[in-house]
Amino acid sequence: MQLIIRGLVAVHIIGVVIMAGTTMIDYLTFRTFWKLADHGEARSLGLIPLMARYGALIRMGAVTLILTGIALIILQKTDWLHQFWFKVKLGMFFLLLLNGIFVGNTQGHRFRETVTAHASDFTEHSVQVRKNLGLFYPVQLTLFLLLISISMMQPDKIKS
Amino acid sequence: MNMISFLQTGLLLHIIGLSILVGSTLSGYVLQRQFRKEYKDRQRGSALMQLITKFQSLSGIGLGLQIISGVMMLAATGGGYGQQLWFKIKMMLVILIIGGTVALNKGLQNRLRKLWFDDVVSDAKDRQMGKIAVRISYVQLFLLTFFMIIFILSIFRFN
Repeated sequence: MQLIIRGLVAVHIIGVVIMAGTTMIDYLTFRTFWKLADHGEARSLGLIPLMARYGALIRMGAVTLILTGIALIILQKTDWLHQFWFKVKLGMFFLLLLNGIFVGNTQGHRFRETVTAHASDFTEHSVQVRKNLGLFYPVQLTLFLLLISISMMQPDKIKS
Repeated sequence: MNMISFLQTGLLLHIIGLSILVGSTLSGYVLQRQFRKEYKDRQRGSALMQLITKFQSLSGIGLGLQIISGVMMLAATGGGYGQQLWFKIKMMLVILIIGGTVALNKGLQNRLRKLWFDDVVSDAKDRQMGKIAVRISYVQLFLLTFFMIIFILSIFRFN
């Protein structure tokens, strides 16, 4: 039993590592895109098809994370659901998920559509989307950092 | 308490380093495949080329973070598990395989970059770049597999 739980924890960590790592890379690509675009270099458009492919990796990580998370809650003897740190963790995770689905994914799609549709003058057309995404990534990465920290330290466990 | 937080800081940095490494290798694989599709279009290819260079320095940062945080954790625990079999195997894998694969990856990417910035236009050159790009994506898949093996080794710590 202990072995199964360890295995699940391992896969759980792989899930979060893929999710957080890809988000980081996505942010790097987004910034590189604008660095090129702001210099008026049309080659920035070459990054758009690549950016469309990160979503699949992030979703894959998220599904792994959620499934192993549920399995761990069921299998663990400790009643996490009543512990304070775990409630905070769950709350933050839902924030992360909602931010990812409703801001990241939606704005990302809009961003790529706008840039593709107005290939010659996308900068003017994407002011708002650019601002939204420019906020989305730092928020998401901060949430990842907080979530991983909380999960590792499990503050209740340290106190007792 | 002090010891715990030192160990935990090390562990947190280790997970961040792993995220950077896995993220840049996994996306590096996707990037390499995209490059293979588009490198004949000079303009699009050059944006991807720029990103390839960035991913490479990012994975360097990730690797550095892994080593620093690994030493931190070893110091925090007084080097206790340095004697254990799983840790010796892990270190061997890290030094031999990761070191070798990273060096191989870097060598291939440097060759690709050299060809890319070389102004000669020829079919032979294009073919060669395509070949190198395929090899890089294989190396990246190998790297990911080794990361996975090392990670599982560290979690289960069999003796």
